[in-house]
Amino acid sequence: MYPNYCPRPHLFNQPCGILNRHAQNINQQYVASFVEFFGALVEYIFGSATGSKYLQLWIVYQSNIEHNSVLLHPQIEMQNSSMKHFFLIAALSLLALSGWAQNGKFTISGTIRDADNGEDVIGANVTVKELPGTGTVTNVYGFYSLTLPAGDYTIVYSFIGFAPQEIPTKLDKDITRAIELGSGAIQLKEAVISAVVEDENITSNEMSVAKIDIKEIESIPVLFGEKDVLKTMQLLPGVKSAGEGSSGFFVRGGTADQNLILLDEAPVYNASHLLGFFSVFNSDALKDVKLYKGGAPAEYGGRLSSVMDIKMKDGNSKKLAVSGGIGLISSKLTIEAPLVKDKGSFIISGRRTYGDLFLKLSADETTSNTQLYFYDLNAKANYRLGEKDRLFLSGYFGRDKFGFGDDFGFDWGNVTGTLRWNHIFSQKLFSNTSVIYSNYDYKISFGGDEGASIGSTIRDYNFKQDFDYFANDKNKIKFGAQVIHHTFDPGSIDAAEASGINDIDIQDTYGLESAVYISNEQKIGAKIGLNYGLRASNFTQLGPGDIRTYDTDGNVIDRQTYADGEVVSSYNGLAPRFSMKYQLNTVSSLKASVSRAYQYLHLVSNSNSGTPTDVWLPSSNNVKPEVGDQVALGYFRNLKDNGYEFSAESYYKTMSNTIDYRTGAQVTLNEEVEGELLFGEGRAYGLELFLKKRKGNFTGWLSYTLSRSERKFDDLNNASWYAARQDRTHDVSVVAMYSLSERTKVSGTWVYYTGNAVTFPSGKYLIDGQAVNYFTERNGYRMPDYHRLDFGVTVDGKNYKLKLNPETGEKEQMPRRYNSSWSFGLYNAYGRENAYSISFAASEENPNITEATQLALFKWVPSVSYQFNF
Amino acid sequence: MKRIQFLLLPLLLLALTACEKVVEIDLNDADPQIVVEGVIRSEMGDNYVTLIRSASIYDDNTFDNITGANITVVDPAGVTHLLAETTPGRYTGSSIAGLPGSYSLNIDVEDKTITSTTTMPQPVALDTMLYRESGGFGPSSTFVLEAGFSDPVAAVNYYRFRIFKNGVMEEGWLLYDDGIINGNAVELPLFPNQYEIGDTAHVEMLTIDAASLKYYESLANGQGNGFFDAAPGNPESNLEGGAIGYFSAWSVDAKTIIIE
Repeated sequence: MYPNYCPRPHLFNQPCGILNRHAQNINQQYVASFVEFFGALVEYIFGSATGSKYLQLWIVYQSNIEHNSVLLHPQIEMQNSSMKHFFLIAALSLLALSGWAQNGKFTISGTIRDADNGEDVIGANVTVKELPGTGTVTNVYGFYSLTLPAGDYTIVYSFIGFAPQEIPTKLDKDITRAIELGSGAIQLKEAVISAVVEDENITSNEMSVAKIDIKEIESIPVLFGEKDVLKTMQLLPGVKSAGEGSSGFFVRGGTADQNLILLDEAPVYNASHLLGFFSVFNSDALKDVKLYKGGAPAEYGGRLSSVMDIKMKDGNSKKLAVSGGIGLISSKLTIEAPLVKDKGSFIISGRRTYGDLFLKLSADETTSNTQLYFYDLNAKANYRLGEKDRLFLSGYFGRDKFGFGDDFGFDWGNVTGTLRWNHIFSQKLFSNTSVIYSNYDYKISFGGDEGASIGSTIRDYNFKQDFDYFANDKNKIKFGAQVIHHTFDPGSIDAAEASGINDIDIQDTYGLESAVYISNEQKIGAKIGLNYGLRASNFTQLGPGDIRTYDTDGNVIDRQTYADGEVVSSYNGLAPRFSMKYQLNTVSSLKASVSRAYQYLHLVSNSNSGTPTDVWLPSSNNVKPEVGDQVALGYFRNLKDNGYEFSAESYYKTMSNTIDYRTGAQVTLNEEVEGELLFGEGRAYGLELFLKKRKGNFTGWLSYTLSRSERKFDDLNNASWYAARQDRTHDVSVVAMYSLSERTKVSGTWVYYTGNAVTFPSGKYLIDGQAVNYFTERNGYRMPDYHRLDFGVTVDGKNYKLKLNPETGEKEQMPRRYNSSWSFGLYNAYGRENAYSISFAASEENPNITEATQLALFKWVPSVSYQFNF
Repeated sequence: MKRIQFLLLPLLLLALTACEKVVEIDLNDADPQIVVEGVIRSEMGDNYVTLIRSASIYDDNTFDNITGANITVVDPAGVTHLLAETTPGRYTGSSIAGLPGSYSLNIDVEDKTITSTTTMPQPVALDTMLYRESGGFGPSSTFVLEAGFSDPVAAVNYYRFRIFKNGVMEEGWLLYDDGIINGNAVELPLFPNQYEIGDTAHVEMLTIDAASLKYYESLANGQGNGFFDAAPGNPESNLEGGAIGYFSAWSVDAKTIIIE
């Protein structure tokens, strides 16, 4: 740390003596690293479009430093852009804090990959045996950088599930070193893995994070045997299922649309297939999944509740690998191979359901013409251009199709594409530039050529620039910027002339969402870790359009026409976040965090279930951004030599400008849908307990959440607080996995939760001869408790064959190229009829009375699937 | 929209192992409310206001009638008609001619004054009633009715269809606006009701005002019984003065068709 530096108000506004003095003392290396860093920042953030100006700035800057004058001029140069100004100040403040004077220090950097398939290893640890508490982890591209004083060290590279590597290193110059961690015989060596890796949950600064090992997903039983990250995530504390069999989820009392779901950085707007029973994520194509339940790092933004960051596999860069599975509902096939060995690879993974193929066998024409399926296609390629540059191209295409013959068709799906460029500017500065495309649309058609079709689309073009600056062994700075251009086509009807239906096109709306951020991960001594950052964002609603303004009753009070590109409304949000870890001892730590988030896009879902026709609405002159603040406290403890992991977290959060709908709101194809909205506030709090057994034949976890989530709207429930739909008091999950033998694994999950808040009628009356329900309050009742037990068994085929060794004359085990396994599952093993919905309507036997009818969806659903790889 | 979603559900559930059963759910009993249903029809003499009291959910559908109310309707010509209580809780106005225009309602009952206004739109003729095979939209050998009419281009129209199958009114709310058919001659399929050979269907096409449509629509969407329904709630009423229900003037055209 700098012993003293200029207090911030002085930093730019007037010459600052202390800084000036300091500037005279700085050595060559400092200047070099500073200029390198700042030059890179200016050049690559602001780009060549505005380049000349900032290049000029850079030169001014550089010369200022060289002449030991003060950081005065840049202020003048930058003044015309407050955002960039902010960025500059933030970057400089952090730099000042982090103390980048690095006398006699050298940097070791490189990438860490999996020796088997060449995949980057995310979050691998790089530690120094001689300097306990010193180290770093690889970023999402497997890059690490560690700066240490000159000396002789033993650098340890490690990651769970891999054999650690210890490399004696003489650090007297900067070193670049690529590491491949082997997982060949590691299962046996697990015990040797250094404790540094296993206690990550207590040593890392992060809290409120839910992580799932993709391998774990394989062994947990799920509905229809379709392995699903989103469903497995629901078994962790603070994450709640949106309903029976649903892949939708709620995080810490937030709504489903407050979860940002990213697939290789591309937002996925509708993450479900078949009305939510399956997620769009084919786990065969995934590499890493991480869910931030709050206080997400500053590089993420745009949603209130959570960020689910899903990364696709890069593809095997060592050899051709094929894997697949045949299940009751769907089949999957994944092919991955090197493009050029160790330089580039690709992966293509596809999945399709085939229930409808059986329908084709039906003699009944209507049935045989019925379509009902979905497919997913994930594809990704990466190529190393050189030691410092790497390109990634990834895409996702998924679609649901439903229909019968020409009469009717209904299909929907997401398309995402991400082009990324990794560039290593220096041993300390890692850059990623992404161009991202994301599209969701649905289309309903009827009557064939003479009919009509209805459609809606949301489309994003997204540019993102991220830097990781590994300042030193105590500070890791991330900064960057993002701009997303949104196009919303809320709905249109395209009809044949003979159909009697008019073409309708509800006007598109446009928005520009931009953000800059900077954050630092800092270690102070051996016990304290800090993460702090700031994300400044802006949402601008753009023309063209005929823009309406509504009063509080939803009536139009003003209409104005805006030209192409004209600003209709604009919102700024400054979202700071801070988290802190205090390590109590080697087995336990305390963590705390506080954060703010802004959300500019809102899902207008008129239903309890979430449907393909749900409409995303951007913030506008009528719809203000949602703002959320959260504080969280956590205690983390590992037991029995890290064999058990325990955590307790509690949180409190507030939300403002949350959205609900007027009763009976018409959402689809409604030009004035903004008039159907109500705005209120929310609060949520809870306690999350988690105990995980990580070692031995028997593994699994216990998770418990006690929580409350409430809303308040002026027009609902007499403007008093009431339980939100996703409010669920108790939620318990038990997951157990047991290895019966080397080849046979059994697993079971049990979930129990108390009922969600729900609206039931409190009376009835007659309208036009029909009995209708009378309601006194929203969400005044509770659904019945839910519980369910699932079982699974996985039997692996022999992964070796016996071969006669001619030299010894004995039979030896040789690894087989082709491996396979069978999985059997039973969903809802004790066949409980859990209520999916309860409705109140006239009895069929006696229309004169009203009955409560409970709908239960799944009772004893068996599944079987076969997986193979070679 | 709703119809399409309605169709998706059975097919999906068929594929799954869904099961329904009647359950006991404890419910609070709301204080009984005054329920007003006021209807002016475009046929002379068939106008009524009914007054009942809401009941508990598990009561049977015999509601308390509210008698002794003083009810007047002012017609578009400004003439005030006093309604007569012809049966307990049912008040009729045989002198109202039912011409298009604005109507207002005044009810004095139990220390309350309940008022409302509504508009009877210009009539739209139901030109033809047709039927055709359901195809993929229902079981084989069933038929869907189609209402043929020409939507007037100049006005914004709202329609409700009431269908009597073999003399019994079909449950549900068939509601349309002319948003996507404005000015066109259409043959509108009346989903989701299915008919078989031999059925007689009497179809009333009601042309109603925007507030009436909003009432029926929010009533239908707010019941909370559908898979895709919004959060349940009470409909948006056009009554003032502390009652639930609505007042609506229907411009009616009707046809009867036999499926053969």
